[in-house]
Amino acid sequence: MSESTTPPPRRSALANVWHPGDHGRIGFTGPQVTLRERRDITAIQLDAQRGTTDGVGKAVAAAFGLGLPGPGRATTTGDVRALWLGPDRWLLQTATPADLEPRLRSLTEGVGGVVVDQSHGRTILRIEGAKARDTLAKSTGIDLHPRAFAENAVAQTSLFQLAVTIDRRRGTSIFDVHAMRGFAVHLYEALLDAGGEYGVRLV
Amino acid sequence: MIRIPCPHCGPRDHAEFSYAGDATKIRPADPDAATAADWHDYVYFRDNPRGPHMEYWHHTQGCRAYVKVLRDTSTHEVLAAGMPGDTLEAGR
Amino acid sequence: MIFGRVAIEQSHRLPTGGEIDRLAPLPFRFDGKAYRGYAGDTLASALLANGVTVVGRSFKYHRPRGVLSAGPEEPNALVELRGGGRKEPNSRATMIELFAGLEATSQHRWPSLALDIMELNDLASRFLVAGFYYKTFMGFPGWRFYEKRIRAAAGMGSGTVEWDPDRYEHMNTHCDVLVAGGGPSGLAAALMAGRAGARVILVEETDGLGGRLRSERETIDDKPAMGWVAKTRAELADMDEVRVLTRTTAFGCYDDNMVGALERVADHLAAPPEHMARQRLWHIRAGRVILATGAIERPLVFGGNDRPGVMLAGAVRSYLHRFAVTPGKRAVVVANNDDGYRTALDLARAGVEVMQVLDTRPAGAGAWRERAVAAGLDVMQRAAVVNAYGRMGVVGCDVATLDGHGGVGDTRYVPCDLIAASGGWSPSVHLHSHGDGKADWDDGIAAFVPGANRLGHVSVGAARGRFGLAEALSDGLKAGAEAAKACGFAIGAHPDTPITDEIATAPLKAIWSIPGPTDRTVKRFVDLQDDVTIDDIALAHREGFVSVEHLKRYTTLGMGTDQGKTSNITGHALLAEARGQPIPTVGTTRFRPPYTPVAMAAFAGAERGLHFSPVRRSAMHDWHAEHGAVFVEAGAWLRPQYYLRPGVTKAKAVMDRAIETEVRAVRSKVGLVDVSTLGKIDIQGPDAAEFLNRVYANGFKALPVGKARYGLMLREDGIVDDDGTTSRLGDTHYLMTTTTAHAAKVLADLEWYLQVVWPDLDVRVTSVTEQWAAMALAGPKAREVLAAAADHGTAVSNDALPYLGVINGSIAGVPVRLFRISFSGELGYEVNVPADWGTSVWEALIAAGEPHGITPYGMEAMGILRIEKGHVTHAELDGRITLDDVGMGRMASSKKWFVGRGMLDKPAFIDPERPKLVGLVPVDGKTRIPAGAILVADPATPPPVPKLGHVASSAYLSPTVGHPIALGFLARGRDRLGETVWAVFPLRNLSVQVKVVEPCFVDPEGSRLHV
Repeated sequence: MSESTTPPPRRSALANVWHPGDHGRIGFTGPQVTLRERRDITAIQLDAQRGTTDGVGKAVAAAFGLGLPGPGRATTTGDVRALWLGPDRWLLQTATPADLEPRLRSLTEGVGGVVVDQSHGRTILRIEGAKARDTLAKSTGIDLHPRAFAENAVAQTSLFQLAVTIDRRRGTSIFDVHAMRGFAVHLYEALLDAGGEYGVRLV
Repeated sequence: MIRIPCPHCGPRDHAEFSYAGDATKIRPADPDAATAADWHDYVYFRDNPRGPHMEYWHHTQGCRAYVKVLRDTSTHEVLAAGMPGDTLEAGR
Repeated sequence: MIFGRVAIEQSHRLPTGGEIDRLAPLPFRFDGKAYRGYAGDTLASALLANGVTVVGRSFKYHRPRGVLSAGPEEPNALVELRGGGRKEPNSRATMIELFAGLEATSQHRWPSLALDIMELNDLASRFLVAGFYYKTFMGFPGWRFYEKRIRAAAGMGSGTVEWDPDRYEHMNTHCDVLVAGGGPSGLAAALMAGRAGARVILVEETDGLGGRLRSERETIDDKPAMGWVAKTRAELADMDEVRVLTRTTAFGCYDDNMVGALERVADHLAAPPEHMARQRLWHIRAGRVILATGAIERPLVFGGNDRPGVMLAGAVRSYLHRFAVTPGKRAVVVANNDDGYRTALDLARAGVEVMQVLDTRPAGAGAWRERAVAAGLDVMQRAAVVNAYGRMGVVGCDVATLDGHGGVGDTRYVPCDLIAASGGWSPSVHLHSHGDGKADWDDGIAAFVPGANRLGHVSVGAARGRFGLAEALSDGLKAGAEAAKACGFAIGAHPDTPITDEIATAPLKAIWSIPGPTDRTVKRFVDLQDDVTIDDIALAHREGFVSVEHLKRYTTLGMGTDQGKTSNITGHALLAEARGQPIPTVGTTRFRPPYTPVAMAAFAGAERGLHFSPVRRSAMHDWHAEHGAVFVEAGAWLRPQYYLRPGVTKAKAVMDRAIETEVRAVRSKVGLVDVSTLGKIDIQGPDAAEFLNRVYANGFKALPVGKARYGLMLREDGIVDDDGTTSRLGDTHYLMTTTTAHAAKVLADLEWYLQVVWPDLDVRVTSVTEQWAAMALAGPKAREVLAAAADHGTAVSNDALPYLGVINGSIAGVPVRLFRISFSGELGYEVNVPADWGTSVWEALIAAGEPHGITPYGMEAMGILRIEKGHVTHAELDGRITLDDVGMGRMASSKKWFVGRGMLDKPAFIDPERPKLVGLVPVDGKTRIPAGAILVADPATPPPVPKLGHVASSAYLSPTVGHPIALGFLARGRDRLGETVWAVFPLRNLSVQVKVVEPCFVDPEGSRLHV
């Protein structure tokens, strides 16, 4: 029997393939796409059982000062961001390794909340830059134009044949792409390939 | 590409969905009352109409909702879409 | 090389004018010979500038052919462009932009363009009528022999088997208004919609905007029309929401206003710059679609109308004005409309000697005719070319008056090297037709014009038969404004239509064929690409092919790569004449995408090679790779098949030894396998227990918290769907596992039942497959290893974690879930670990197991272990199998309803002859039993041999029992234990005598599980 220890560092699905630097066609203005992996994110899926949407929403609002967003939207307060994923389903994420899961359990389970940890199940890539939108548009059918997909818009859709969540962050050209962890290398390779003509900086 | 108006996500390419079958078939609600013929009909018999057809589409790469769709099989035109429990009429 | 004339450098280039850049000469080669053109040329214009008239041979008769058109409709000038992996057959010389170093070769000729042996077909052509090959050779013994040679002789260029080195990609976009076509009407439409603030995309097939204006001498507001084009282009470029895509063809309109467009990003370059796509396929989802696709000129049908040097009149003007090329020195012009006069005037102005202007219409006045006469041109009315001479290029023609009843007057020979012909213009209704659009016949222009269109597409300008410039502009402005308005944009003041200086045109008079000499060697072609003559159409009619669809298939009219752009209407009109009916009654075939050919590579886009389909990797993938794993694809997943020791190269014997070692380690010591690929579904909610009880055939209500249970799911038709274990983690919280193959399907099914069938059940389901890495520790030493690896406070004794127990624990500081379950039949545990820590825990288990000889094992060993135990997988549960078939009928609960139960009493399910699961061993104790083999009583029986069953899965060797074993399904299998049957595999000529045994070869009592 081993001595109990604290958990080791989390290992990204991209640990072996991520080579920081500039890739593809680099023009005078430098890479027009920047790609970074948002590692060590805590991401908790929160569902509301039937008829408990209001109660779960109130519990979250009271604790985090955060309204659970409606379809296709995200909300942020402080360090916690809530994304709409589907009917009565949200993803709450934070970059601060915190006790988000147990807190959500104690806050919402009594009022109908269903809490599932997905922190390790998703790889999140942040893509930004003048050509971020065009890079994504090479394989998703949703309309990423700011008129149709403004700040804090969220879509569950298809990207490079994968089911992904695209989250438009503050600013006109910052997107977080969530994909299943097992497909992380495929997503990474496909984004590098699609962004090659614009130049991609891996941070 | 057919565009299917998901009641949650708005219009999306049909490639995000999986076809999930004929929505006019109702599964026997009370299994004790269902006869072998009822099951046989539910499992095996499907009409193949030309024109408006009620069907289910699963938004597998989106919000995971099953969407009821009234679609014209001769033109691919989606006439209406809603939740599984909705009664759909063309133009709504 | 023998060419018609000696090539003087750019002998046919005008000294001034055109859109070419004389400061940028470009060298190129055609059929190995060096030439020079200019930037701005197409291959066709550059060849014509160099006096090259013959550019290919025809498809069937191998007649020399020249350039007919100046656009996408070209039927003749098809060449093989580039070489190696970049070779593209059937490239239209009229659409290939010239670049330095371009190499192209002619097609359909052997051994050379000038000397083509298959030209004998032309002499034998009286036998080569429509349907000849099939009538003559098919059904003959040896049709297959002839077919190969006939097809080779026909030849449509040759492709390449080399890997295409270039990138292709897709691009998706959305817009309010899509305008297809960058001519005057399209530009006007885009301008209006853009000014209103709409998101506009304008696609233009060629390299520049202007459409027909590039090829004519027109004015707008008293200035050259191209000045207006430049001004409009600049205004569009300043609009943020307007995107103009040149070199882009809208090739198809699909459902819900999805328009497919092909952008030739780098086709005008020798090779694409690094990282750039060669072609980009656009998926454009548009609110409104405006079709400004223009019109295509029709040839006239007369004797020898396929001779090199016979050209469409509009194309002649394109070469004069856009490319500064005179396609000939002495021209005859023939037309059934005023474009003949327009062309003759332009030719004369360019210094070409116009020998004769022929108007097939009855005598009459007209502004254009008056101009031509005033210019001193020799005009003949009610007259035409009846026969053109010149094998390798026109040298002259017979002209004659027409009596209007199918006869001709005296013929007169006119020497010439160019015949410019116009049979009128047909609107390009192709895209309109893709959108379910109807086509209406318009007698005024003798062509089909767009009718109603279900998708609401609006055609403007020449695309709806309005050939005047002023009409095109006003049409475009109106359509652009209306489209923007329909998308919710406010429209400002409507601008005045720009002023043009058009001359009024006299009406066209259709003439579908010009009477010709009775000499049968004189051919009058309707479809140049497919070598369909007027005689073929007459023959088809005589033989009863009177519908246009039958005509098309019988004669191949319009079935070439040009889809009959220059031939369809004429062909149908001739059929209508033969039937004595009006053309609209005979109808036109429906156009289907693509409008012009699109390379398969463009449709594939980036999804090829590595990215053909996404590959899924487990959290421990890198560890496996570093430790010699040989990977195998299992669905989307890459899984270790087996591990090679460092330095060992892959070979069959090595593989066999590696797998045996892995199996023996699990049975005698301990092994570790990555099972992350199994589907994991988190199920929570007050009705979770009831839900599971309905979807599983066996009972789940009594499962206590902290316990796992094996479960079987059926489909609605009673067939076994999937299996796996489900554990109760809390009162209302379960974790279901599924097979790797059906993980996505099972989740979709659960969602189906919850959302559609039993919406009253309050249960939430979600996939956690990716959240948890999973590994199975198995073997007699498994508990010792787990105990050594577990952190303080995690007890794994038989009491603390009994068979089918589930606990939370900690390994290497990582919170884990421990399941006492086994697929191998040995003492076993499954460890679920948050994925980012998967490798840490895996390594901790390997380290703890080292003293016990722990061995990582792969799918091959796992397969053998489970076959030894008779555990079934999708090799057995193949979508045809019932619970009874695999000996699990008793698991189905009789106390409850579950999915599939209603169908279990089907006669086919209770037929005693149904094959049942059995074990099989070779009678000789050593021969492998091939999976997929058929089980028969006696392979010597004369066919048909009754089938008794099949072999589902096979272990070439069970290291545990020392010989090959297999699982299979055998009719009355349970009654045949101890008997022998034969497993035959006729494709490999194998037959193995096998003994029928219980489907479990190791520890049938399961004593090893409970230690």
